[in-house]
Amino acid sequence: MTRLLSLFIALVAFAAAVEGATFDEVFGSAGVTAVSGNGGLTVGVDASGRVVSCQWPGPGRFDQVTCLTASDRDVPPLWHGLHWGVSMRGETRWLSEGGSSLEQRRMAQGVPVIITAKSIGEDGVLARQTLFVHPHLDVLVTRLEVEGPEPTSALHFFANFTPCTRLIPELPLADWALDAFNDFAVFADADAGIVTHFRPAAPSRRDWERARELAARDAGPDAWQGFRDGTWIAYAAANPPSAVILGDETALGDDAGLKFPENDVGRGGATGQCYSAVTLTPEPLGAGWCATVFVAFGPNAAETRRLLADARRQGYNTLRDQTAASWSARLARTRAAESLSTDRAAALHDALATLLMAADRTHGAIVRAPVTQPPLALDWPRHGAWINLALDTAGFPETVERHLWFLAGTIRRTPAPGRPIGSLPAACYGDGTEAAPRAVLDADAAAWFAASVWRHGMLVGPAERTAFFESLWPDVTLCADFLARWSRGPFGEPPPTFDPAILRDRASLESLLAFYLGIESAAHMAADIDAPLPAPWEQQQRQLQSAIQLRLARLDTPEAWPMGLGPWLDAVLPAEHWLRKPMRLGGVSWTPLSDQTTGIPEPAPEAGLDALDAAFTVLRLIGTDPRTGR
Amino acid sequence: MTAHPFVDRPSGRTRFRAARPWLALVAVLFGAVVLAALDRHLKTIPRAGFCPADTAVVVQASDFPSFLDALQRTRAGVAITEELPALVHDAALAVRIETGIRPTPLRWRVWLGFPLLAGVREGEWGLCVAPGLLARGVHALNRLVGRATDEHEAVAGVDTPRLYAYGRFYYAWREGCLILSRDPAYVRDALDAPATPFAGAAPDEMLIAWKTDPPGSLRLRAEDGLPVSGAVTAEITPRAAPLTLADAWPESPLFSLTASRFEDAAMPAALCRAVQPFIKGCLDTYGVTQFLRCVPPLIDAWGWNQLVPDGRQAVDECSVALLGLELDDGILPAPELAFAMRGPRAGRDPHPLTPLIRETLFPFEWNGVPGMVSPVVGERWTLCLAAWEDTWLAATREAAMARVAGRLAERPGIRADVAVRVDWTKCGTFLERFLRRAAQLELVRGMDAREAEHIVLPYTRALGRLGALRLQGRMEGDRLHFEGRLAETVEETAP
Repeated sequence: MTRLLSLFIALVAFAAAVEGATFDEVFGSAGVTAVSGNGGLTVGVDASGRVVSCQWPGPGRFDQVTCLTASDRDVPPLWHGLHWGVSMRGETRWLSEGGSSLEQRRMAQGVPVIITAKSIGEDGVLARQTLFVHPHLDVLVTRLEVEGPEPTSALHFFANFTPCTRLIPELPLADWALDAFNDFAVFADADAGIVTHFRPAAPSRRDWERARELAARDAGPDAWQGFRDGTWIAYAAANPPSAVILGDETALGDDAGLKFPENDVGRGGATGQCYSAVTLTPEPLGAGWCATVFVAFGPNAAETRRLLADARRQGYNTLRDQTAASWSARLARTRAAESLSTDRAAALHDALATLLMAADRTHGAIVRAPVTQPPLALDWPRHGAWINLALDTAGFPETVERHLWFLAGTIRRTPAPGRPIGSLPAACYGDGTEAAPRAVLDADAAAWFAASVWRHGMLVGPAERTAFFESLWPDVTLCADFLARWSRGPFGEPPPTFDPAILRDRASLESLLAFYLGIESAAHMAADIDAPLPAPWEQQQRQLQSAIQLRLARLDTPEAWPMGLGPWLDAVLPAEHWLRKPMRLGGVSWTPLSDQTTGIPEPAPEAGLDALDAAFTVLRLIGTDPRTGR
Repeated sequence: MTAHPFVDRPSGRTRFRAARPWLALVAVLFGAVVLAALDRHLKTIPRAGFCPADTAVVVQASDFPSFLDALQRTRAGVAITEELPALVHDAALAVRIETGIRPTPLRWRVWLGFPLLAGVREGEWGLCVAPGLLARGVHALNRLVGRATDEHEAVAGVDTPRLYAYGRFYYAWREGCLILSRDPAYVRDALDAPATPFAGAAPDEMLIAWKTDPPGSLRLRAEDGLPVSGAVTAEITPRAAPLTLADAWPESPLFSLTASRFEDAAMPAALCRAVQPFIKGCLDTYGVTQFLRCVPPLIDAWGWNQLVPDGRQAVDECSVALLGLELDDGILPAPELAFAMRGPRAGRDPHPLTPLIRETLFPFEWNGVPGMVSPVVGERWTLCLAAWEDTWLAATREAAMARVAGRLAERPGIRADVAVRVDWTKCGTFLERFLRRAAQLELVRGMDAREAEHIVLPYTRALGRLGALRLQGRMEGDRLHFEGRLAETVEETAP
C-alpha cells in the first residue's frame, strides 16, 4: 500500500519545469540532437539522423511518430522512428544501426537544414542525410546520398508514423508514451507511389471495422478517402518505389534487427499499430547515389495529397534553397549580429533559430524544447519571460507579443480547486490546454507574466508602450490581484509554491522575490497608464519587502540568493532601492543587487534545443537592453 | 371356465388387445425409468475427474448446474444479468455455436451431468464432466462418421482411437468421464494424470485452487453476498488482540486494508503476483509499462523510497484507506488516502510519520483534534498528521483529515490478523466517471465515447451493484485462512 501511495503521489506530482538532467533521468531521453521546424511541423533527429520526434501541427502539439527509450541510456529499437537503409551486396544496413557518426551540422548558421554524415560498416561507405522542414509548407524533406566502393542496389525508407489526434489535459505523456492508443491505419497508392498513415479524429468502432475490412481486401486508395478529418501523413519519393511494405509494428520484434514479414510486402493497407517501408531505386548523383522522400502533413487526405504533389513538383533543390533563403532573411534582421565575430554571430543565429522554431505559428506559444521525451514540448510561463526578453532584444517583438497574448489567454478566470483566479498553469500545450497536473500550482508564473509584459512594453517604443499596457491591463490586473491576495501570515509571505528543483511545494526566497517582481512590474504599468494603484497591491508591496528582509537576514551565505531574478529586479527597481545597498551577511558585507548577482545565467553546455538556454545564449551575446546593448 | 349366463365375458385375447396401449405405456414408462436410472448412474462418479498434473488453476463443482442456477439467482447474479444482458447473451451464444448446446443449468445437467472439473494451463482450458446417455449417443454418432484423431491405443487387444474430435474440440473418455479441450495436449495429459478426488464441495459451492505464486484455494458459495472461504500462502503478522480499525472509518472507503504492521500491507502485492503475468501482458500491450517506468525515478527524486518510517515499532495495528478518487479535466485521478495507526503509546509519542515532513510545517486542528500540515504539492497533496487518544492519523489531503479526525467509530474488534474492505458501489461510480472521461480522450481502444457509453460503462454499473467486499483472515502456519463475502449488499448486513 505504501508503494501504491508513492505511485499515485509521483504520478500527480510530475515536474513542471525540472532542470534538464533530472527530466532525462525521470522520463528518459529520445536523444534529439537537432531540430528543423516551421512553427507548425517540427521534426527532431538523433545523432544518427533518425527522426525520433515529429510534432504537428505545432511544436507543442501532437507527436506523430513512435519512438521511445526506456532511459537516457537506451537507444530506441530499429522499428521506431523514421530512418534510411542502404542495400549493398545483398545486405541491408540501417543508418541507425552501428556505424560511426562523422558529423551533424546545419547547412548554414541558423538555417535548420540538418546534414548528418556517417559511415556505414567497415568498408568505406559514406552516407549523408539532408533533412529539413519547409518554412511555409508542412512538408518534411529528407534525402540520402551514398558513396562507396560498391554500387548501391537499393535504398530503403522506414516510417513508423503514429498519427495522434488529441492531447490529454494535465498529462503530457499520451502522444509519445501511450502510442498504443494512437495510430489507426496505413494504405498505399501503388500507382502514385504514395504511402499514407492516418487517424481520423475520435475513431468509432465502425471506423475500425471499416478500416480492417479495407485492409483485409487490399482496397485501393480511393476507398480510404472517406474517413473524416484528423491527422493525415503522406509520403512519397521523387520516383515511384520498387516495393512498398505495410504491416503491424508489433510483428517486427524488439531487438533482432529489422526484418519485414513476407506477408507485409505489397499489401494495400494495414490497421492498428502500423509501420511502412518503401524500397527505392537510387538515382545517380555525382560519384554516388541518392533518393529523396517528401512527407506531407495535413488534416485530411485532400490537403495532404495537394501538399505532397506541390512538394514533388518543386523538387528537392528548390525546396532546400527556399528553406535556406527564408531562414537567412528572417535571421538577417537580428539586432546587433553585425557587431559580433563570425563565431559569435553563428552562435547567436543558431540560438535564435532554436527560439523561433519553438514558437507555435498558430497560437503563439513557445515551448521549452520541441521534444517529447522528456516532455519538454510545453510552454512554461515562468520560463517564457526569459525567452521573451531574448527575442525582444534580438529584434523579434512581434513573436513576443503573440506569446504574451497566448499566456494571457491561459490566465485562470473562474475559480476551481487548486486553480485560483489570476494564476497561470505551470505548463500548457501549444493550444493553451493545461498540461501540468492540477495539483501543481506554480504561483510564480503569474509574477513572471506580469514582469514579462512590463519588460516588453519598456523595450517597444514609447508611442506603442501605453497602448500595449492598456491592451493587456485586465490580464495583468488579474495576475497582480492574485499575487496580492495569495499570502499568509503576518508578513504576507506567499504560501509554499511548486518548486521544480525539488518537485514539490516550498516557501523559498526565489518565490518571494518573484512575487515582489510581479507586483512591482504591475505597479509600474499602472503608473505608465495612469491607473490607480489598488490598495491591496500597495499593502502587498510593503509586506513582501518586510518578508524579504526577514528572509535575507536568515541567509547563511550569498550563494543562497537566487541568481535568475537579479537581472529582472535590477531592471524594475529604482536606483536607490534598499536591495542595492550593502548588508551584513555571515559577517561579510554583501549587496543583493549588484553586478555579481544581476548577470544572465549560464546556459547548459549542450544547449542546442532548449529554448531557455538558447535565450540565455542570446542575452549573453547581445545584452538585455537594445537601447544600451548591456 | 364357463361364462356367466347373463354376462358376456371377453376372451383373453380381446383383453390383451384392449390392454395393449396401456402395456405399451407401462413399457415406455418402465424403459424411461430404467434409462433415467442408467443416465443418473452414468452421471455419478466417485471422483471429481481428471486434469493434467501441471494445471495452474483447477475449478471443481460437485453439482455444477445447481451451482450455476443458484448463482444466477443471487443478487450479484441478477445485477450482472440486468446490467450486462449483451455480455450474457454473447457468452451463451458463443457456447451454443461451439457445442450446439444452449448453456442453461437444465441443459448442462441433461447433456454433461453434475460434476465439473475445469482446468487452465498456459492460456488453454479444459473440462472433465460425467455425461449421461445423450452425450454418449452423440459420441457414438461421432465415431460412426469417423471423426477420430490419428492417436490410437490398444484396449483389450483392439486398436482404439485415444482422442476424438468434435468441432474445434478434442475429447476422450476415461473411467466414465469425458475430458474435452481445444488443446489436444490437455486432453492427452489428462488421460495420463492421476484422478482428482472430490474436495467435499456442497451442491451450491465451487472450489477454485491455484498453483501460481502464492498458491491457494477458495471456496465460493452461490448465495446472496457470495460467501467465500479459503487459504493462501502468505506472511502476515499474527496477533492476539482483535483488529479495531477495520470497520472504524467514519465513511465507507473505496478500499481499506487493516493489519498489524506496515509490512503486512504488502500482502495485496504478494497476491497480485499470481496475476502478474496477465497484468504485465495488459500493460505491455497498451504501452503503459513504458509510462510507469517514469515512476521509480520520480519516487527517488522525492526521497520517498524510504517511505516506511522509523517509528513503526510503535505501531501494532495500522489501517490504510482510500477514501476517494477525484477526477477533473484530465485523466489522472487524485486519491484521498488516510492512515490510522494504534499502538501502546499511540497519541502520546511523536507521530510515526513525522520523518516524512520535508518542508514547511503548520499547526492545525480538525474537529478539536490537534495536528500539523505540511504542503507537498498543492491543495491535493498536503500531508496532514494528527493524534488523539490512542490513535495516530495521517491523510494526504486536508479535507480528508477533516472527515476522519476524531470520528473513527468505536466498534467491536474482529478476531483476525488482516481485514480487507472494498466498496464496489463507490468503485463502480468512480470507474464509470473515469472510463467515460477516458473514452472522451480516445483512451478506450477501438471505440468512441458514445459507443463506450453503451459497451463499456455497463460493466461499471454492474460492479456498482455488487455492494461491498469484506474479507478477514488469520494465519495458521504459513497459510492465511480467510473468510468473508465478495458482494455483500445492505440487505445482507441488515440484522
